[in-house]
Amino acid sequence: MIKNKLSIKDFGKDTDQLAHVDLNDLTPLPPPYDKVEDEPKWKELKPEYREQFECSLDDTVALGIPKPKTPGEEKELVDKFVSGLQKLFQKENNWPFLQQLMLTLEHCAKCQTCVDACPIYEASGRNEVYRLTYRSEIWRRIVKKYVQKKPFASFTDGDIDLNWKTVARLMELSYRCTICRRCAQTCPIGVDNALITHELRKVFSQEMGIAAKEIHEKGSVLQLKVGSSTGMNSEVVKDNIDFIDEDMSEITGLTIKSRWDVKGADIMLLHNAGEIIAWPENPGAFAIILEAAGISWTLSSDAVAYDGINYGLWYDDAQLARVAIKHAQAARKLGVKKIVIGECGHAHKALTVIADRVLTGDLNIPRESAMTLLEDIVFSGKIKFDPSRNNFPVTLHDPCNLVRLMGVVEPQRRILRYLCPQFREMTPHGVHNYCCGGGSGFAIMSPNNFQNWRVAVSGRKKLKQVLDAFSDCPGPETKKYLCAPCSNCKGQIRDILQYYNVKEKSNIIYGGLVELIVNAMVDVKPGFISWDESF
Amino acid sequence: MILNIATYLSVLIFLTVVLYRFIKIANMPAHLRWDLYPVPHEGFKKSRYGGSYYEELDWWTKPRHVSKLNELSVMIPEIILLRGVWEANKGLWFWSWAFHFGLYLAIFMAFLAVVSTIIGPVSAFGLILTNIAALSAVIGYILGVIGCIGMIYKRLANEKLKPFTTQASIFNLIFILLIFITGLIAISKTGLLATDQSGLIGQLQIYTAGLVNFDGTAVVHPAVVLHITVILLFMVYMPFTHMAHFFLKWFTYHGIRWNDEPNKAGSALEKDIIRSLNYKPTWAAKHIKADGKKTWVDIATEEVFKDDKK
Repeated sequence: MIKNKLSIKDFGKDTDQLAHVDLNDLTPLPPPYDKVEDEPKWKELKPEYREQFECSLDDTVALGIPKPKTPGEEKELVDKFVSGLQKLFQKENNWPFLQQLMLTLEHCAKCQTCVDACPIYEASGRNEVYRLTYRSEIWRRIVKKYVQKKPFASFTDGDIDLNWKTVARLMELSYRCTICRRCAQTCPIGVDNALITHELRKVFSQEMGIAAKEIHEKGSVLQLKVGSSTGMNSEVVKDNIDFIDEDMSEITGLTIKSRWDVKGADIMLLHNAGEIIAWPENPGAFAIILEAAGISWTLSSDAVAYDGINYGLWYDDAQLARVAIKHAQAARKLGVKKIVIGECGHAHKALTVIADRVLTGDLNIPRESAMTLLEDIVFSGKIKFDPSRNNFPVTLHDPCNLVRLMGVVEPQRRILRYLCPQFREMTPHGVHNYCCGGGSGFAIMSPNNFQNWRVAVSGRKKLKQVLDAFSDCPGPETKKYLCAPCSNCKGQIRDILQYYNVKEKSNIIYGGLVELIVNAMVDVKPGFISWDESF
Repeated sequence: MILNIATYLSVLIFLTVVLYRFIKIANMPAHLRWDLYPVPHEGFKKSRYGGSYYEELDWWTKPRHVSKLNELSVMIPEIILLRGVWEANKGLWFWSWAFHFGLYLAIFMAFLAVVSTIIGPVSAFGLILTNIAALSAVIGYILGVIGCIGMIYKRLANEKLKPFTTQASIFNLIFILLIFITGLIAISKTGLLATDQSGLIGQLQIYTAGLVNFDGTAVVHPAVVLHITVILLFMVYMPFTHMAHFFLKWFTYHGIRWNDEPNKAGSALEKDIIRSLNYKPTWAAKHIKADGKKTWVDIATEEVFKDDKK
């Protein structure tokens, strides 16, 4: 049953708000989260905010674009949008995605086979505005009519009006998809409607200079300016790691000292610097494991290279390339044999898969997932483990970038099967997993009431999966652990668990993979993972 | 004679457009990787769960195994049975399958008609092929009619499909429906299994022989002429539409979804990438700092936010 029926033509109409999210329509969660009256109420956008900023899509705002003041300004923005769309189809401007985009433009059969794969569409109660083909169809019609200027475009592809409302709504709508590409997996023709989200964001950023503040201004720009999107410069990050080492030494009873700028080390480890601030036990656990296994490793204190994030992956090819090159340059300078990427899904995909066709010559330094290295260490016999220390229910979240989009599926599972006696899978899992709802930058975006949307709608399917995975022990009397080997996913999961008070009601905590490994190490004092100190 | 000339022209247009579109896509610059797992050429063991070579420690030091056989094991059920639609869109599957399988059988019938003409329609093997072609025709046309009508109904009545149904979607389905209907009319007028070439397959063999021998004097039944005319019109029209996915699907799967070829120093792929990195973009946003003179390499390597630090 489709809720909130909308036609394509509605999209350009001069109405205040195109669609509405009714909490009663959202897919039900298992008890005790099943009562609509207990669902946290959404913060409403203030009338004065609505006066100034574009809020005409749904009940939330991701970008907050000031409304143009005159028809002239509106026209200028629409023209820029068309100009950007034209550039998407020029090899000089868009060689990185030209072939994929052209095929996706031309060959969609509009069979709707992909739509039910989308967790956002499903969780919203099939709200038409979130149907992924609604967005892609609007884009196709605009391209055919206003960019390619095809004769008979309204006959072959359907008609659409292009005005400021259309563009403003598309900007927001390009931030209602996590680019998890679950939809693309189902397309029998191989069309990728999630790619359209990616390319739309590029037009807005690369041509119009419009992007979500958290991923551009406070994200990739800050990273390139000071070294990290966290704002940490080289000295601060070293100080923070020192503190973490001290804490880890105290907690584990071992002497932990992270290594900086070791020339000729085998491995340059690349963390998402957000871990250092939000989940210090994660980089700490990495140091414990690598030291215990006698690995030759180092961190780089070069600007940008101590933060593995690369937000350009979600919205801007130039920013993506700039950050990837900085990472590779730091590794080249140190003369390491390989870069190992810590528990950050998008950093994995950006540097290993996407940047593979950006890094040439001596910048093409081998890159590897930490999952693979950790598997090798765990099964090498270099470290003694006591799996009974992890004898609590554990489930695994598959970060889309690491699993569906990179094919690293089993190493982390082999570790969990060995070290966690009560490990259980979610349904579905592996390459058919559901996104945490925080993909493509959402996890770090909370302007206005966007967090309401990204948790209650975008993250809903994931919460249901997690609760279902622990359905044999739902109550708070059983301590449970959700393993999410990705910083962004953890950020989103943190917000979901807090939003629905899951720690109190179900006693589920979340964390990475390395924490479980260290928790099972015989040489470490018991209790590395603690339910009392989480959050 | 007119039918023969129309056939040569239609085949020429069809092949030219197909070739042009294939070359156009194939000649696009190497793109950034956009793989999507499972990737079946990783072999049965890994592709079963969607694993890649990135699961191997020091993967770049290990030989890369590419299983074309495993790719086929995915592609064949996809093409013949539309497995993807079955798995994700069961309500549409039967109609879509009947529609596509009807087309496959019709194409198979045409292929057999040509082969049997070349080897001799009255030879023992020729007769076997003729009978198989006849069976393909009747099953294919009936399935095609069912599939087309079902698809038209779905497109117009199903609440998921209707908002996205364009006039061209219906036009295309009616066009293909006409192929199947005129085929059935031709069978009804000429018979199917006649041994003296008066049946549909025999008539097609006469027509094919005329084409092969550049003989414009061959005469076939008007119902067969009508059927062939609809097919020829469709051949000219189809490669210009999204239905060209029948061959461009090769790129969406092998060129993108399953393209996990790593970039190696000195490879042809690397040379292609370097060529692209030297394109000069014109993106207008300030932070890109493109002026139409700088290359992607310049843009990606200069200290772009240096001034902002001050």
